[in-house]
Amino acid sequence: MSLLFILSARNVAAETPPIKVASINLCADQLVLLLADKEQIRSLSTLSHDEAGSFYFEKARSFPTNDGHAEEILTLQPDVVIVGQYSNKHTVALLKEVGLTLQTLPIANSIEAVLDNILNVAKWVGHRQRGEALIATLRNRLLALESSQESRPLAAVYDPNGYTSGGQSVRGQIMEYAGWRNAASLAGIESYGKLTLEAIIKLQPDALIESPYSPGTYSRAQAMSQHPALLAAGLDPQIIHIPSRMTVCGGPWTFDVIELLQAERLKLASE
Amino acid sequence: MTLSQGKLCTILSVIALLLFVVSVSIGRDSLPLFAALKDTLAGTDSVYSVILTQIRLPRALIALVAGATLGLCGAAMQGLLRNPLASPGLVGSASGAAFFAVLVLYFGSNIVPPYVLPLAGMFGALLATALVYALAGRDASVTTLILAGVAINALATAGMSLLLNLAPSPFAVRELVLWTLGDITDRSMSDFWLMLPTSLIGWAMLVGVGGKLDSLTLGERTAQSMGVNPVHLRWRVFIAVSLAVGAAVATVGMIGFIGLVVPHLLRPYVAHEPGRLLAASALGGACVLLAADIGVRLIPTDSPLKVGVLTALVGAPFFLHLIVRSRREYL
Repeated sequence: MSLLFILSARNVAAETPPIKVASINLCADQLVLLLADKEQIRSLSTLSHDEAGSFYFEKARSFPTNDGHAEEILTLQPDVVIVGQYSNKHTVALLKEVGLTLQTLPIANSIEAVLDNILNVAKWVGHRQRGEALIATLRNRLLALESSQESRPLAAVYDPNGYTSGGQSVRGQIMEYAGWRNAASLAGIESYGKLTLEAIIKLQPDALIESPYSPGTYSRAQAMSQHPALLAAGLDPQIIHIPSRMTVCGGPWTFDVIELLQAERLKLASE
Repeated sequence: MTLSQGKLCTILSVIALLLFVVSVSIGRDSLPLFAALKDTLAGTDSVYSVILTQIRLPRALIALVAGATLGLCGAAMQGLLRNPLASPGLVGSASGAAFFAVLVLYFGSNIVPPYVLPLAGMFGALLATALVYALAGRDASVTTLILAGVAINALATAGMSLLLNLAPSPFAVRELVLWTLGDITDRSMSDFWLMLPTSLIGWAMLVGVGGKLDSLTLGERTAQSMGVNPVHLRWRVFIAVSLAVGAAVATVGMIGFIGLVVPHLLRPYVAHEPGRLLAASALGGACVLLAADIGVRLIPTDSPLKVGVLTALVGAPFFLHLIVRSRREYL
């Protein structure tokens, strides 16, 4: 029965020509690579080939890239162009003016928004069912998370220069789902802000979660954990390292991060 | 090295025209120009004709007009203030325009239609000039005017820093910063039509100012005895600069050094006469911005190079060279 269904779905797909897609935004690149068929993808952004920012960088390398200029996109004649919320305003206006169909991928500020983005990109590239199936799997993974409330240690996202994420951000929600309490929220940061050294000493987080964009260089979180003031206060937060390609954009890998952080939490509890 | 005005302007016009043609024919991917022209003239909407008329043409036209504005206004300000360090940004209109444009990017970039951005920039330029007027008073001396301009500049810059500081995400910060760097990529014909009237009014107000600036080189008193009203002249130049530079900055962002360097570069060829320098600087400015905008497309960089960055990078060492050379000449 299900085989028959797949076969008939194939036939429908063969009748309507596939939607040609171009993306000028890194996060849209990822979701296009995830949800569209190979033949549909006309162009991805240059950043899609970048190891540090692009989760599917290996897969992306078999596709041509663009620098996000109107001219390059127009010559490709895509059926839909996916742009980011902060793509160049002039390019977006010009692409609209010359008659291309544009879709804007907003920046996800919650896990729900990540799922919405997956569904929307799936619709834009003509694979709605594919998106719905993926979302169902991801929701099940959230439900399967170990949800004991006994140990909820405190952690903070620690990016270079002390930037951190509060509860109204994907990274904040990741911590929530993984069972950590967020020091940034306790410090009054809602979405994105700076975590001062004083706040760290006062809140005494058990872990700092870092995700440096240039790995191999020196770790800001590591340096911070060695700060004399922290040592003097007797603090020795654990440093949890997450590759930046898993935190720059939201997607299925976001759920990998949740599971990874949960495992780290359970490890800490058993120590 | 003095050339006759006609000869100099002809040479510069020819260079500008050549650069304009090069600018239209250059892009990341080569365009079959002949086919594009044929489609355009035949009125068929092919990809090539759309690229030619709706992407490359506005870019070249905007570079031409904005460059001419910066060169012309630089020459006018240097003539008026009799100071070779004066630049069009001195009256506060450039930073006023930039501040209002950044304000629109910050609050309403996804809500408002695209033409609001340049309009807000032009409004900001006028508001800045009005504030300078209010601060300095009608009969202000040159020094008071410059001080008022500096104060307004500082205020607008502080406002921009505040918006950067409060930006909701790193992406927003990046967008705001990149906008201020100055760039002509992917502007449309509607951007060009929006900037053109205000630019033309500014240019028109500077027609006939040349002779008065020449008289002014003899000193304000002498110029007055020759029938020049210095206060009237000052405001005429200020408002003209504010209109034209405001339109340019609102459309392309902050593009430095053209207004400062181009008049310097051309001064020897016009026998150091500020009046003759105006037209020459306008053409020279257009040439430099067109050339720089071709440069950013030819220089391969990972992130696209912004034209304002290139003009500053090339302009600053060149300016130093000019200073060293002029010092040698005076010794």
